[in-house]
Amino acid sequence: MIKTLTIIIELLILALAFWLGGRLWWHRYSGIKKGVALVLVGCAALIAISIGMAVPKPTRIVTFTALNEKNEGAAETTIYLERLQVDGEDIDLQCPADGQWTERDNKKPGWFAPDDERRTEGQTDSISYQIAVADKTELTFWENRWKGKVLVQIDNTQEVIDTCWDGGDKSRSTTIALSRPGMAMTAQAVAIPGLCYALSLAAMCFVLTLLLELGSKVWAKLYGALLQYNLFHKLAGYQFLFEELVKRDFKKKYKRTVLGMAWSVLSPLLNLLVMRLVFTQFFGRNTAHYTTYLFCGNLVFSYFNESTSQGMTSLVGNAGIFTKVNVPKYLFLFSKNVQTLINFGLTLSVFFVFCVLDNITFTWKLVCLLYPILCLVLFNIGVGLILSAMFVFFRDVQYLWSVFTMLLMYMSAIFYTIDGYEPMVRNLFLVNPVYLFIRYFRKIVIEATIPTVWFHLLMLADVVVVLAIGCWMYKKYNTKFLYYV
Amino acid sequence: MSILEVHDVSIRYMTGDFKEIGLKEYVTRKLKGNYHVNEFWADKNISFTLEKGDMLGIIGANGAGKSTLLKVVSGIMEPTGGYVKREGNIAALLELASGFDGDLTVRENAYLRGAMLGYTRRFMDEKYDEIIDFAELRGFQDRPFKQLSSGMKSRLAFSIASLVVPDILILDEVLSVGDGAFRAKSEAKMKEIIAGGAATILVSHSIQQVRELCTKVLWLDHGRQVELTEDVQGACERYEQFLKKK
Repeated sequence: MIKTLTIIIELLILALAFWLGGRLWWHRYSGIKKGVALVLVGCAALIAISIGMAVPKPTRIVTFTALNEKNEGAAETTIYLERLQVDGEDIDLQCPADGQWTERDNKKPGWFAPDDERRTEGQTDSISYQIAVADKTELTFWENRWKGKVLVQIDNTQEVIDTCWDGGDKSRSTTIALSRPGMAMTAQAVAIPGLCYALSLAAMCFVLTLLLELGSKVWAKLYGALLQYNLFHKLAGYQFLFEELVKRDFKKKYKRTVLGMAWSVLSPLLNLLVMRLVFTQFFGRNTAHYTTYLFCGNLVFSYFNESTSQGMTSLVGNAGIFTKVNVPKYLFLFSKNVQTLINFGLTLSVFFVFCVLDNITFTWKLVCLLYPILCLVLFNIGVGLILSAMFVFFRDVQYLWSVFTMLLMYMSAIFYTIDGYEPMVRNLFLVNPVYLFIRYFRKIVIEATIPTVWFHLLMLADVVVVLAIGCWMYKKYNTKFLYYV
Repeated sequence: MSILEVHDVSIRYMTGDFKEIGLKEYVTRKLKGNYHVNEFWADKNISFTLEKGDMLGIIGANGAGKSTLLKVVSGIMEPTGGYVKREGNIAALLELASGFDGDLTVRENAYLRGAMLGYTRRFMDEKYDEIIDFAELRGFQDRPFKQLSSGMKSRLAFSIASLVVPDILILDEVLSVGDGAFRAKSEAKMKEIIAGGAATILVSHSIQQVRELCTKVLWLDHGRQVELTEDVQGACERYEQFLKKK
């Protein structure tokens, strides 16, 4: 009942969200734009559903304690659990590896008396399972002459169930409702946490609706801005300037160097060499594929560092141009970013060579690296936008940022592993976007596993937030930069 | 239909503490209530329109708001009040020699400048020889730009810029470039462009030039519009008398 109610509330609110979001789009746009709007609404709905599924549901602990009361005429006492169902869904009844509660022939848990030969070593009188709060909780157990009594505890209520049944040599399985009256597991008792859950879901959906409404407004504004400034057309028009800026940045960067471009590969490699030397010789790390582990961190972090700290000065450095000619100001940052991206690409190819040397087997999952790379590029652009705008107003940003990147480097688990920390601390690392990128690289390359959908969404959220702030700053201060340089 | 309409444009310029102070200063001053931004009106209620083939001369003493007005017309700044309507593409030659990169060669700088002015690569490929010949820099093509004399830099800048076939051309002290021979050449080039039907705005301290070239005069004084007239000779005389009186 509660579950149905929750679903109905959820659906209603989602429908409301659709209606509100759609109403805004529908009248304003036509044709392809409607399609885009639909896709966006779909994405929002998907996100809503995944959030709904990820919210921890209220749970309670059910504990079975064997009382070891032998029935008359029984040679031994045993208790066999068959299944535990919550709203018709089976709970995975995992058996402890040893002790008196142990695995039976059919992989279900059972309890054997201390003098029983089948029991394994150890003394465990009870086992517990975490179950969701629901309308109906049913327990199925096996009954025959040799079965004993079991104490079932759910939160603060308890009841003794006698699983003994005198059916001669026959056995039967019996299902009883743990949510029946008297067990205090009735709907009334369940109602409060269940309702809380439903309400929290409703609140979430409401927030989502607001977000959707806001999102549709932002989108409408964005699209309006795109149309107004004819951005795509404009970008094509500035292609030549962009190319020339990239060329200029390249020439200036490698001016008067003997090795030229080779430095962009060489400097991260030397960096790696130093780190590798320090951390394997002096600290004796035992991590598998430590060179690759280190290189992953180094690769991502040096790209981030180079891209953001060079991007920071891009606007001020080109003040002579944008105060005299009306050109889009983000071009300067983009051109710096192209240069660092090429460097990153070169380092990446060296990285793969190192992987081969480190006996890493390549799998098809390597294709997934495109996602973090794309995210990283956008993330760097976003951070660059913010920093370069701030740098115009306050030159202190330069020094603050260099301190901050150093802090970030030590917080990104580049040369150490975080396995030793508690789960809570490990989760804190996920707040650091750079760590996310590094972790993604390591997961794919070293462990050959694809991270969860949540991991992907978290990265995307970081990128979107940073990019949005950056674009907003450029839009807001576009005509004000002039006064400060 | 006029090509350019400047309607009641006012520009407020900000000066004061906000520039050149760091984050710490900013925060402490904000807290103490000691943070002041002075503003003054660089231009106040300026209006004019330009038709095809018009050449508007803007005259006025230093600090009269001429360059600020040009920045607004070319879209680098947004007007605080009023609006600017532009029909067609616009080429602004403001302070010609700035914006070049000293480390790049003459050739690279030429391409970069061309790109900034909105030319295409093909156009630059075609016109490159013409530019170099006009600027008389044939022997210097692969020299770093910083080795050039300031006259040479200005010549290159003018040569690239004068290739523009814009609807609206903005010249800020451009025609006083180079030596006598080059100046004559550049003036001839300018007249050719104007004859091609562009509307031009010329800022110059040379009254002589304004008298020779312009069809309209806008006289600014401390941001105010003193006079907008087609009587070029009369306005120039009044302006000269005004200067003498000071």
